[in-house]
Amino acid sequence: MVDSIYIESAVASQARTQDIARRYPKATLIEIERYGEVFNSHSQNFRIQKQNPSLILAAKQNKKVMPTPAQYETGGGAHYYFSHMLNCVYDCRYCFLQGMLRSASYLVFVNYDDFLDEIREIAEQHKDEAKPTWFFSGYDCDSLAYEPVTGFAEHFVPAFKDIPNAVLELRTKSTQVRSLLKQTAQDNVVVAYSLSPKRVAQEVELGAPSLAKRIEALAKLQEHGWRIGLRFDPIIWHQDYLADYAEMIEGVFSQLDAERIDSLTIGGFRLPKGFYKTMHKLHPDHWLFSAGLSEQEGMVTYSSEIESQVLTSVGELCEPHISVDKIFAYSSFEEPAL
Amino acid sequence: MCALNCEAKPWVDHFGLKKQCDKPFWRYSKEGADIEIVVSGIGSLAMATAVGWAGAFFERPRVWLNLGIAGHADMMIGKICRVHSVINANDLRKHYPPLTAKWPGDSSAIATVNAPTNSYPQGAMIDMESHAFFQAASTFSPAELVQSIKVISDNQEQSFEHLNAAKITALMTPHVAIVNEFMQTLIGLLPQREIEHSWANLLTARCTHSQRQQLNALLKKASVLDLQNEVGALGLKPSTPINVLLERLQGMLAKSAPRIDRGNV
Ligand code: SF4
Repeated sequence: MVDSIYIESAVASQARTQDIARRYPKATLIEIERYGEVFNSHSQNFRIQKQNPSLILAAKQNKKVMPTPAQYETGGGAHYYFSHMLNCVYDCRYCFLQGMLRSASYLVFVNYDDFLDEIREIAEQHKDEAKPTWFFSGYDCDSLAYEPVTGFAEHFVPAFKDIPNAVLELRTKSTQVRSLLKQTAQDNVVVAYSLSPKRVAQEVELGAPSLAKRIEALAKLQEHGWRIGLRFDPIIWHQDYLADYAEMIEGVFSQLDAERIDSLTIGGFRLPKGFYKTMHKLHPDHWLFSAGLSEQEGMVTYSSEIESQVLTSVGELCEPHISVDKIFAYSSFEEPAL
Repeated sequence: MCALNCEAKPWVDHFGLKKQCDKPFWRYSKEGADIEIVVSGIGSLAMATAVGWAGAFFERPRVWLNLGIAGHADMMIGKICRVHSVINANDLRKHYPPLTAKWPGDSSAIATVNAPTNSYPQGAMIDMESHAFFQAASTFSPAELVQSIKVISDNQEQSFEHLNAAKITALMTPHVAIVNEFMQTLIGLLPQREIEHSWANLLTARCTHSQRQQLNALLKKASVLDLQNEVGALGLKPSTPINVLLERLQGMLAKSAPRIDRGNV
């Protein structure tokens, strides 16, 4: 439950702002000029704020859609990402947002149509390319976890019907799929789930739905005709990791039709050094930041031996179930391994 | 932190605090208590200086609470309010204290001015210290732990001229319980203490300051990963050359996959 909402004066009267604010009738509403006054102010502690985050409703100015870092690519054409929201209702220990942002407040950009205008413009620039242009959501938040409040997918998914050379990928761990199950599946929308073995999810993906619930949501989406993707990223190295990942992979492929899975990506735990330092300071007691990591060229990753061992072995566990061309493994040390 | 002794009095009495000194600022505390009250005097400069002085007594982050009276155009006298934003009326700089700790009452913006005034801003309280308090105290603790609670002492109907020390104490007294509860909520947000380990003797090894830091960091990691036996098996002593100490610890840590069924989140 959110108990304080900061609202930029410029969006205060917009319908979406008011709809969202109405969901929290007891919250204190505080009008602000620009979200940065609250979100970026000094001396904030992400971990403390995570115990009771506020909500900020604002308009995203300047560029709204950016080219993606390489590890997001899954074989399409040009790749972009956009974030209608910064921060997340879940609390994954490995989440880089803790290292990147000063505040844990949920910052929602309510000017959805400005995002869509920019997406249409970019898609137009790529219209003559053979492969569609991919637009990822869920880079700086979970795409669906806050859906009942933001109505993000409900607004964006139908809008992609009119951008045929574009694909929207919704990355999520959420089971908030009701709005997707209410509409007809669209060819140019992929719902990609980040999955971790049961014990890993329990230990490091705090507040997120269990593995079983995520697989159940995936199965429903697949049955409804939605394209789905699987993201085993980050793979968390631990004792018995092979047995844990084997169990998860068996479970996943026993409940989903591998033929109709769009892509499967595998990646090791990796963070820019500055983010790692901040996150380790926030959670000095967590084993995740003490185990098997080392720094190379400004990135903190598993050592190359550990990373190649986990990527190769988890990749091999997947190979009997799904065509190899659908598996994309992202190493921090070399070009894609599979 | 209070500007006036009469604002602090209900809490000094409630906690049975004793005056420790009155120069450069009044400071009340008591043996074994985890609370102290510092009285700064009126105005931004006094408040910022007092916070700086009080902050120097402790190394670790603490909860900082500013308690005091404030004016408001039309709020009822005696009403208690949390500060949710503060503006310095001189340079219009603003600050939004993160509202992580739950507060059961109302909240309001506040404007900090230089001198007492009967001209009240629209929709905001008015005082002479809040902005300086937030700026100064946030250098010692995370902003979530730096909060201000005000009790309305004057409004357009009843100006500040009617106030005296006894009346101010009487306005603050009914709010002791709600403020104490809020302080407990804030204390509950304090970040955890540093990781401890049981190999302090190794830190006496001959080495440079930065090598000692590296060694300490590795030993903390070993402690987080529960590697007591593994560190013991390395047979390390303070007399072991520092390069060997560091290498052996690094090598051992690099191979130690964490156990995740220990419930050690
Ligand atoms: S679900 Fe994604 S965005 Fe949310 S906390 Fe976990 S890693 Fe971060």
